[in-house]
Amino acid sequence: MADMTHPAGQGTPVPPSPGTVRVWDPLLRLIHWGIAAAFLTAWLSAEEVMAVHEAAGLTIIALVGLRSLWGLIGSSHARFSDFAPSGAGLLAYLRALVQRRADRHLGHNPAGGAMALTLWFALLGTAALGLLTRYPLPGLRPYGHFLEEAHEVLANGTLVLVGLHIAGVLVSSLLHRENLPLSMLTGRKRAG
Amino acid sequence: MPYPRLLAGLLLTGSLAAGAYAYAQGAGTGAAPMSGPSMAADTLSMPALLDKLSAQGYRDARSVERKSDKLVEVKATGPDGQRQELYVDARTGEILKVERD
Repeated sequence: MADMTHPAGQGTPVPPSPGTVRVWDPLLRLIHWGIAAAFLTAWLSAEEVMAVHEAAGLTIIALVGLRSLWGLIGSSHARFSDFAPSGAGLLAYLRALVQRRADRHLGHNPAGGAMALTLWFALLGTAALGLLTRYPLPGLRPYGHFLEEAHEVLANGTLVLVGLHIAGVLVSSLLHRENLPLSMLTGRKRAG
Repeated sequence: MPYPRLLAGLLLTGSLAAGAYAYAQGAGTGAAPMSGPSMAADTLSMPALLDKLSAQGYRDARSVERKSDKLVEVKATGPDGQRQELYVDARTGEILKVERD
C-alpha cells in the first residue's frame, strides 16, 4: 500500500510533465488504492481466512471514514462538493456520454462522482453487515443468517459496482484520450 | 450546497459507528467471538449443547466434534448405559440421529 504514494511523494524522481496539473492529492490516492487492495483481499479471503477477511473489512471501514472526512476538508477535487452530481446533471452527462460528446472533467465527472459515492456506501454497508454477522448484537442473534445473506448480496453488488467503475474509467479514458488509472497513481492529469 | 456535506456526514458517521462497534467487540484482535471461525451467529455454545444432552439423560461425553455450523457429533453414554454416537442440531440442541458407537 505504502508504495502507492511513491510516484508523487515528496522528493520522488517523477518530474511534473509539462502541460499537466495536480488533480488527486497523495492521501486521496493512498485511500483509493488502499480501498481497492482491501476489497480485493476481503473478496479473496472470504470464507477462507477469516482473520484476514476481518482485517480487510476493518481497513475498508477506516478508509471510507477517512475518505468522507477528506471529502469535507480535503483538497479541492477530493471534496464531495466538487463532484456529488445533481440528478439532472448526472442524466445530462450520461445522455452526452452515449452520444460520445461528454465533457471532460479534471476531477470526477458526474457519472464518476455518482459511482464513487455509491461505491463508498456499498463498501461501508457490506463491511458493517459483515461486522454484525461476526459480532452479532444480542437482539439480532436470531437474524444471523439473514445478516450473513445480506452481507453476501451486498458484497456481490459491490463487485458489480467495481466492474462498472473500471468500465467507466476505460470509456472515459478512451473518449478523452488519457490514462485515468495512471492519473490515479501520479495524481496528475493533462491540463485543459 | 448541503447535499454533498450530508453524504459525507452519513459516510463518516457510519464508519465511526462501525469502527466503535468493532473496537467494543474486540474485532481484529484475533479474539474470535465464538469457538470457530465460520460459526453462525445462532449456534449453541458447547457447554449449552452438552447441558441439553445431559438433561435428556446422556452423560460421560467422550468426544464432541463440530461437523459444521449446523451439526455436532457427540459420543456419550446414553440413558440406557449404552455408548452412543449422537448427531445434534448445533442451533437447537435437538438430537437428530442416534447410532450405537
